[in-house]
Amino acid sequence: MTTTETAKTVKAFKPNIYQGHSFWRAAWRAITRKVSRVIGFLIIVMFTLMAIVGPYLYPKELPIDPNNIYAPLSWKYPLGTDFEGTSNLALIITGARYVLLAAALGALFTVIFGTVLGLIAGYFIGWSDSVIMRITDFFLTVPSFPLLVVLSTVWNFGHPLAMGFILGITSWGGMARAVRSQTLSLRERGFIEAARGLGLSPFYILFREILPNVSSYIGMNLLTSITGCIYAEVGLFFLGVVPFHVNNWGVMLNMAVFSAGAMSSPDALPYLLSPLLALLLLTLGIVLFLDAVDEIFNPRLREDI
Amino acid sequence: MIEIKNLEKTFYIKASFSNRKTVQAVRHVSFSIPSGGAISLIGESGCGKTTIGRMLCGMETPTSGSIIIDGQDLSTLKRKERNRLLQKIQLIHQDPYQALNPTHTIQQMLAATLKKMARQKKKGPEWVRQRMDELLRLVGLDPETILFKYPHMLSGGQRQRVIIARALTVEPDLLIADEVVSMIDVSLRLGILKLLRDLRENYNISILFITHDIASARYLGSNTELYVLYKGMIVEKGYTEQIIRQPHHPYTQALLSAMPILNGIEKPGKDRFVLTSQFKQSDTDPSGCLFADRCPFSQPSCSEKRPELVQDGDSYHACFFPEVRNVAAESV
Repeated sequence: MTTTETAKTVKAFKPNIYQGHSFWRAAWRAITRKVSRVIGFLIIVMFTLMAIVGPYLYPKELPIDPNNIYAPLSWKYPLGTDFEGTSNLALIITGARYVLLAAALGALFTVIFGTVLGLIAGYFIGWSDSVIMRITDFFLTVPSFPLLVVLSTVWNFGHPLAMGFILGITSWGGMARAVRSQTLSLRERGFIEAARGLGLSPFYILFREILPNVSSYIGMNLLTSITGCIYAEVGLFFLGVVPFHVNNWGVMLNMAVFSAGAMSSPDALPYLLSPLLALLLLTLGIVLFLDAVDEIFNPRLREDI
Repeated sequence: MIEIKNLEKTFYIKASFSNRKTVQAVRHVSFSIPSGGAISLIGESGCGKTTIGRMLCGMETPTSGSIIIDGQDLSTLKRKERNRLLQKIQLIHQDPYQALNPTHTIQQMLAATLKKMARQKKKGPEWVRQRMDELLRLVGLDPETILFKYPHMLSGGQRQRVIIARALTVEPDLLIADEVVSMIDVSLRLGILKLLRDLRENYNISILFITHDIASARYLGSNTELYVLYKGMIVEKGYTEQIIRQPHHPYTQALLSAMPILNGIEKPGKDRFVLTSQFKQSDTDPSGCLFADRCPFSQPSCSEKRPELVQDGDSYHACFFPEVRNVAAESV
């Protein structure tokens, strides 16, 4: 074989064009990688839909059925009925919106306050760090639940936004400290020094260089603080320190224990257990889904090429 | 043209509440880098070579002395003006695994500064794209395969090339290459060194090459000046080739002796010696020669007065008893 013939058989080297992958596709892949994550995701989607469309599925005043007070579980009343004969399932579904919206807003406020203050304190250090951290210490040492109880006497919690804001403002302290400590270690890394050397603005460095590196931590915290916020608000309603404006899970618990006597009469047990079941299921969904969050935000774990 | 005059840096370390230790990292260092020129700083770990690099790119403030860029003294300038000048000096980090943001694609990294440059030059997004391709090709990478990759998908050598491309986005006059090849796979080192030499020869970018390895300093091209640092002081300077052939200072000779030789092809120089004592960072400053406690040729008079950097023929050295010793490897 002559050299020219050999040269013909050799294919010209063409490097593969690499176009990258989209964030959403990678996220979807991370979720579908494990069955547990899919279950968690489906539970979260189910509750989200419940919060969005739930109140439209039933009439504004839920029907009462005096013949079926504390009815046992049946096809008509899958979770039994309450003291008026209203379906517990309907109560859970219509009550989801306030609880979930307030919790989501609470978690969002927690994460936004915590992240922004933590990033600023950790990156700029010096006096801004001292001031922010003293304020954080103050919020960390104030016992949040008693404070919520006190605040609830002076504040109208009728709107979920007000509830979410209060939940957020009492719980961002730990988040700010954690983000600050991560920022402190990241700011000494070579790529932050390089960004400073290239003359990029502090705003860019904080939110485009450092923030993506703590995003998986933030994402996980967002989800865990949703459960934390749900417990806090349901607890407030259960204790009865917040006026009952709307029907929700906490109100159901309160009524079941203090009015229906679910602790003593087994008939009222479905009324007590159905909001607990909803809470349990949501927590389970979030815990199962948490596993995927790190993979979604960390490009090193997104091995899909 | 970048000039450094009598640069000094002292670090203060708080040992206890009332007591603080000082470490003199850099002592009276002066040099100038002409545009398109190259200088290598060599010395062992802790000799202050990295500190000089960090002071030059504004990451540390000198204790005294001045850095003059294009005739403007940095310390007299306002902050904004100073930052603008400092952008002309870009540092290439030693560790390519730390210097790239793991959450950004190569495209995002380059676009961040290129967009800023485009605004300054009043150019559109097309210019950014073009420039990105151009710079990646210049450093020897294929834009199509690499642009949307994350740093963890690249090898050490590729990362170092990306870092160089990123430094080039701001159109620097001086690249500070701080041990650029020490963390890279041996087989890829020469490629990076050759790239630096090409940048210098074709684009007139000056290079400050910081290394502990004399051999790699030789790859930077002709008329490279070599500065040998010991405990923050210049102990010998001259052209690289000349210092390797005729080292005067015992410390330079010790560094050259430490270079491995290719057995069978080369044989060690006949005066080769190995330092037995370790480098110590003492907080008391000896009045005599800084190297006297480790120098195998030291005389009692060495620890009385500190030698100055004096000219001797073509080279400069700071030693009372300079003597050319034959320590470099010779071919068999």
